[in-house]
Amino acid sequence: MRFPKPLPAAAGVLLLVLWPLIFPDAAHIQQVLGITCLYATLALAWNLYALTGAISLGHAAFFGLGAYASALLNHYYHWSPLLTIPLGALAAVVFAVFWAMGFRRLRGVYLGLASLAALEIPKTIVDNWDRFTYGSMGIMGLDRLPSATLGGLQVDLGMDLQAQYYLLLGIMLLAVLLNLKSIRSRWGWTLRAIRENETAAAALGIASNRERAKALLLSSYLAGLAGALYAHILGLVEPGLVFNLHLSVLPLVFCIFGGSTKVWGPVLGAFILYPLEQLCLLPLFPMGHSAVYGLVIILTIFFFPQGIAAWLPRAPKSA
Amino acid sequence: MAAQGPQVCLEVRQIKKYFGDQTVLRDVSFSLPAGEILGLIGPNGAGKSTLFNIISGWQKADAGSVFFFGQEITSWTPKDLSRAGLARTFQVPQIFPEMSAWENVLMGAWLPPQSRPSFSKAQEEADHWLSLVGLLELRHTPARDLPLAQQRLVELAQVLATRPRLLLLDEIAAGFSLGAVKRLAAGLAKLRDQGLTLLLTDHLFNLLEEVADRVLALDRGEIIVQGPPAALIHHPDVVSAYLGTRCGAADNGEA
Repeated sequence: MRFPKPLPAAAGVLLLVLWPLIFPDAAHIQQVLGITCLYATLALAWNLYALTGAISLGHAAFFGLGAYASALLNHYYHWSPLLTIPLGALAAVVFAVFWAMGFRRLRGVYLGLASLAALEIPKTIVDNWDRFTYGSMGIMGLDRLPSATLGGLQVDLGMDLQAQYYLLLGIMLLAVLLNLKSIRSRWGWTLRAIRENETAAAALGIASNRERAKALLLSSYLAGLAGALYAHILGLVEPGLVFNLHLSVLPLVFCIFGGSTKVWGPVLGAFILYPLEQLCLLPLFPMGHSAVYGLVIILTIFFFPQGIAAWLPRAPKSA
Repeated sequence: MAAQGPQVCLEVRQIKKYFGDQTVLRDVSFSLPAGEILGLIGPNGAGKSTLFNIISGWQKADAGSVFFFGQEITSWTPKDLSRAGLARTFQVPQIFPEMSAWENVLMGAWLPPQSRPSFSKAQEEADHWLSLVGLLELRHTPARDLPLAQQRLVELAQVLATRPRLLLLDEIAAGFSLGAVKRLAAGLAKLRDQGLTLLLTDHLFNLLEEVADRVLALDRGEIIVQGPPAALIHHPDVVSAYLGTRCGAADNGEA
């Protein structure tokens, strides 16, 4: 297996760390790139499950459940987001357990369709349980991310966009590390074996369903974490917002564009496509930016079927 | 309950299998002592692959039982059988197409949960088994780019790397030249001498003739004759199963 050389990756990370210090007043760009980090985290979560060969169209369910569980804990119990975010993400894991059991025998397009349908279950429950979730009105006035003291420096993670950007960047980098460790470990090779040929994997004694479920649980927690963060960044949740199919499609698009199964693929996909849409296409083509965005994706699939990450420099083969 | 002594590696008892109205296997029974190479021959549709699939857990028998070193394994899954040391190859090689030949063998050495060697030990194992099947020079070639015969050898090296106690080879030599069959036979005989038990199917007879200690001939789901390979090759029942009976002989029989 070949990996990107550390140098371009390190240079990219350094650029992401340093640019807000060079342009401290670029608030809009900080906001857009902060959300890009969040979506990249969701894409990395999706990618962990995709390492097993599964194509999910239901990751918005994990995102939404993380967002709602954290919002409800904050709304009813007034717990700090620092507590509700990691706890709320566990709701996504609970849903993933049912997913893993129910979709045990499904593969390929059938799994994709089932996952798409599964997204409707939590969305419908949240949408109709008015007395508890406030239905389609959602919950507003959630606590924003709190202030924190880092090395004697007081940072307001809720209102200071630069601090928020660094938090989201840090979480994204942790998700990159998780992907990196997963892909390069024995477990990562096990997932690759399952992805390439499940019959051959079983013939080697690999329990495909169990390993796929492990990847899903990890993936769901990360997606739930992204959702919970999103709720407290915006200060509100609505079913139409956090269970939106768009949130299932985004990671798929980012991973295909950047290169699924590559560590930096989902990050590259997110950092090219989302800022391109928000910072370039939207101001230039306010009415037709989605069409141009779609065209960019189609052309990428035609000309770079392995994704952009396939063009990164490679290290020599491991053996 | 233990069904037999520890020296019997595999025992198949009264296996029946139906596909709809068709009987594919009728009361097939045989035993395979540890350290022996047993061949299974038969024309197309004789039931060889179905029997292989039942022994290796990929299909369920409608009746009968299978024992592996005295333990009943009739309802075990392929994954559990592999962990217990019963490995197999397939007629259509089951490999990891995007991995190199070497990575494929590494998967056999490194991934099986029953062994868990260190990565460096697994690398050594991969080198060893790939070298044994003569493909070390093609180590970096993606498995999907190899010819079918070499894919079979990659699969063989991969399953050997799992260190099985019983290895089932399903038409491993299909498409091999005579020289390649002789080299394969020599390699298998060496593995047998090191204690590996083998069950081989062959549509033709060339590999079994070289290496099998004993051969079973299967026709229409039944074992029709068994014995040493030299005795079976001209056996009238085997010839008849492969070529059919002469019209005149059949007429005379009926008359």
